[in-house]
Amino acid sequence: MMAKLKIFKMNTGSCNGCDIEILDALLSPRFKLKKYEIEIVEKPEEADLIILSGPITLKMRKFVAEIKKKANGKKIIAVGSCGVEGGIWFDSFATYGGIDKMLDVDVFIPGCPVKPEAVIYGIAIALGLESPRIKRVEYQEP
Amino acid sequence: MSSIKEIIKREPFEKFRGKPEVDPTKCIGCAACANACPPQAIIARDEDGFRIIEFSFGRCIFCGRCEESCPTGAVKLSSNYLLATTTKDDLKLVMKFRLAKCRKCGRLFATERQIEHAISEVEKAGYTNIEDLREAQYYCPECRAKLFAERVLLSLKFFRGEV
Repeated sequence: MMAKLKIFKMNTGSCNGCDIEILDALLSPRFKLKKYEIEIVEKPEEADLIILSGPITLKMRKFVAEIKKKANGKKIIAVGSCGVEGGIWFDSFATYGGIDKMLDVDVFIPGCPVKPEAVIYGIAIALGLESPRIKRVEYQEP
Repeated sequence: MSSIKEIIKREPFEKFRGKPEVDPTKCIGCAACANACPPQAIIARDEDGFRIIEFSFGRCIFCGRCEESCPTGAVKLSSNYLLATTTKDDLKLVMKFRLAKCRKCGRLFATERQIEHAISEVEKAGYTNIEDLREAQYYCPECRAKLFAERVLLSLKFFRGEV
């Protein structure tokens, strides 16, 4: 039984590294999933999942704001070091910051670029099939 | 076709740079990694007698410069790439190290482990007057410079026969 998974994907200012990896994860035969048929849709309101990659550049802000209006309740996935916290562009004059600065992000996938396997894993977390394996670690010198 | 479980079990290629694994027992808190980190994913700050080294894997670009710059080999890049999580807080690693006080002026200037590491390195290089070195190492750089200058002056006076 194949379930359809509609994904809307947007580059909010990424270097295209993550985008290539995301498309590899979503479209290539190596990452074809048994239970899900992935379809990339044109409009965010049609999608089940919204995948955004890259830091929000100042010019992309209005488009991200548009997604915020249309996303109501849909799972949002921020991909890449830039999408999570601004990455290498954290203090650039042309970027606004990570995606969680404007939207409520459900899943963060760090990586520079992310591995396609990590994208699949992030989607699995968003769908509730997997749970996060990384935890905050604190250490104090004894 | 493969299931999600099969896909995330796949091993990355050789020399893949994944999450930096830090061994806090080896770390001396020198902040060399924080200086080397291009996106400032590693931040070092001094707060109430402690040096805090904070790793944020969310911003990390996995370049491996922390591993290169670490003097004790405490940071090693692993092949772990499954870092996806639901909160950014999970991506943090916070380490706290005690700072040592300068024996003369009382300023907090370096972590205790850093000083011990410096002493052991000099010891390895063949220096034998360890007790003297130990005293000097627990002075802050400014006070240490003054200490040595006083010693040089004293020895000059000694050779001139003034003392």
